[in-house]
Amino acid sequence: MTRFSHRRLRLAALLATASLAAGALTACSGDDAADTDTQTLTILSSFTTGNATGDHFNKLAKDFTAQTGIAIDVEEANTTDIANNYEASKLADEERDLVILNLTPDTSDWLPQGQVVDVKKYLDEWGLTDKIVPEAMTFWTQPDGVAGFPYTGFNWPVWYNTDLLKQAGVTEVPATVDDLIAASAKLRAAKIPPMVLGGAEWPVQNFITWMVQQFVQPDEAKQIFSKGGYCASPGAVKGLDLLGKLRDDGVFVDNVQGYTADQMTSAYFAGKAAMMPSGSWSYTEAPPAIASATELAGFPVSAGGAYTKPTAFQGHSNGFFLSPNGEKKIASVEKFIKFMYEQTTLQGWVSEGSQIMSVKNDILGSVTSTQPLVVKGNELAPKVDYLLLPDSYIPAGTDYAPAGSEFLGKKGQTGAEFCKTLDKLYQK
Amino acid sequence: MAVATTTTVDKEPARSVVRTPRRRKRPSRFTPGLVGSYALVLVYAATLVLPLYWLFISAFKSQLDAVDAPFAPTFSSGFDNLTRVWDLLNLGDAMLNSLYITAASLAVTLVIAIPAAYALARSQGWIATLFERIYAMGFLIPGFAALVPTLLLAIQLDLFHTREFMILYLPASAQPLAVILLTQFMRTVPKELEESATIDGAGRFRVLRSIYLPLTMPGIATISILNFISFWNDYLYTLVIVGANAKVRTVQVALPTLQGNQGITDYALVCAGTLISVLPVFLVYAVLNRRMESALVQGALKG
Repeated sequence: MTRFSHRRLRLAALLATASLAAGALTACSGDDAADTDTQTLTILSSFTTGNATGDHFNKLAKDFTAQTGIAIDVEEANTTDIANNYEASKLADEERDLVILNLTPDTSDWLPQGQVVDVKKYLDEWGLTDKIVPEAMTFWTQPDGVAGFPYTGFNWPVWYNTDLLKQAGVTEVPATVDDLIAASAKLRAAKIPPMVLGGAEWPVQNFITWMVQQFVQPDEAKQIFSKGGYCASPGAVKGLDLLGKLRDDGVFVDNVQGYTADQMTSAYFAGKAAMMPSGSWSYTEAPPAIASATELAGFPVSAGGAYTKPTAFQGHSNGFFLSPNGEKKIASVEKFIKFMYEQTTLQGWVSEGSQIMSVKNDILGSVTSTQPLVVKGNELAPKVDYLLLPDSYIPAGTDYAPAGSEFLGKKGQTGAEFCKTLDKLYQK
Repeated sequence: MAVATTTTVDKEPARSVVRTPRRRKRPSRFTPGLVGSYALVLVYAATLVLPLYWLFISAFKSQLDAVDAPFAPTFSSGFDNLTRVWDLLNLGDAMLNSLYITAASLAVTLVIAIPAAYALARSQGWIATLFERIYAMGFLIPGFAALVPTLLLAIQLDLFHTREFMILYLPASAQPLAVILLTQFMRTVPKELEESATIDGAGRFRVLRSIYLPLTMPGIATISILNFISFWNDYLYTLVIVGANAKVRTVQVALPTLQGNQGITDYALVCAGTLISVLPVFLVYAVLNRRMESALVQGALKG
């Protein structure tokens, strides 16, 4: 049996001691979220460094500190984990003052549960209500109040790579579902994967609601997304049948049910798929060659459907949630929020951050993005009908993705069968 | 040529007169079973190496190459991804935080587990058996199930959002495996050694330090490697309890922030960050692997 040499033991002991000492020293610089230092605002942000939003926000935070002397302590977390992170810290009453995040089924119960503060009175007192577009105010308004300060929006069309379509002999972006199926057949014949979709994650949930709304009007859609009742709605079943038809007719790439959202975007950006339903958050990330070849349009019109134009989504789901700890520093929060809604700040988000802002055009003023896809996205409005965004209606904790993934992988399954699975999600 | 061949053949019977024992024909080294086994081993090794290969080469590629040509070593980004991710995530601080939590937790784990294992290994009574079983029952608690109680405990102790709580929690979670494994190792130490040391006047601590520690070093190395990897890679508890603040977050909490909002992740950058984060694990394994292998072989021989 061999033994450790004394030298190695000493080295190991030294390393352990050094790391303990280093940690103890750096511990002195540890933060305390519960402090009542009104000269520091703590923000939990889904705008992460390295992305257009995160980089621009970090720059703005520095500008704000330089102007006001109020420090901004930004804590970043990805969208998957940020809600858990906030809820855990709220349990300890050590939550951050503000949270930058989307109002989604994961966060829609924060206001009713008292995890965040109703900001209606602040929006009114600080003169922000009139600056924000009415759709954004509607989206953020819940029975208990306004869940947060609406800030950035998005549009969510279908991306068409016209270079790949041309290679397959498709000269026009599909205008009808029949065109889409025919184009997909041509693409497959040319060995080009047709439409990619994040079949294993949240994109499939959105796409299901997209298909359902091909045959369902907004009022009925609200009811279905809120309470279920897919099987009881002939229109919803027809929409699910349409999804099954797209699957069976080869519109999606092979094994689409296993694609994550990242893989969906990567496949399209790598030219490995000719079409993709995705939102404006990806515009700035597209490689230049793909961006210039991409045409943005709605999902093609369904025969006998509820809409006469191709359809897309738009929304205003990103904003600032105010926490109870944040309310204790309301004077600093007021300065920060007012700074974020100043015209120069808003314009910077468009010109440098390439974002779509949830404010009225007269407040935003004349400003354009240098990103070609952002410009194309802004030109969508007259060419598409916008659908009801389901995010604020689907109850917290209801996730269509596993069922949707399974449906995409089961050739031949009908809408009448799939609707039962979806309705079960509401029977809790 | 033909004559020469004949001559050679003619000489052979003369040699055979000596009656040398006939050599047994050596069996072919490459039997179908052996070749099949080697093939399976190679396939298995490839399945282990391939993800590492992909991780390594992707760290040196552009975002698009990482998706477009996943297994081609293009090296299109050089070292850019490594330097960029280091700066973006402030990985230096994150590595220090990880090292602090991991090293301190490991030290606490060993300080508690070694005497506990010694006591259990040398005790014969039912109380020791009961305690050993209680330790073993620790395996039955799924890690995820303990998250909420652990979070509440951190809050009650006023240690929420601190790394020091993890230094208390991680050793506690590691005790069952550490104590049970070390107890088995210590049982292999002959009692006579302890008895003679005791006769020579050695106390319990001296016996542990001078006899048990050196003889069970492969077991301690095994525990150290396994726990180092586990502590270093811990994500969920560290995220929820320590939090994502750049001053205190670990490397495992920092890396997922590279996951962009809504499906726009730069996988080349993620691979570069991951490559940096696994280096300490490889380093520790490189230093301690012989001890661990020796411990495993020892276990195999002793059945």
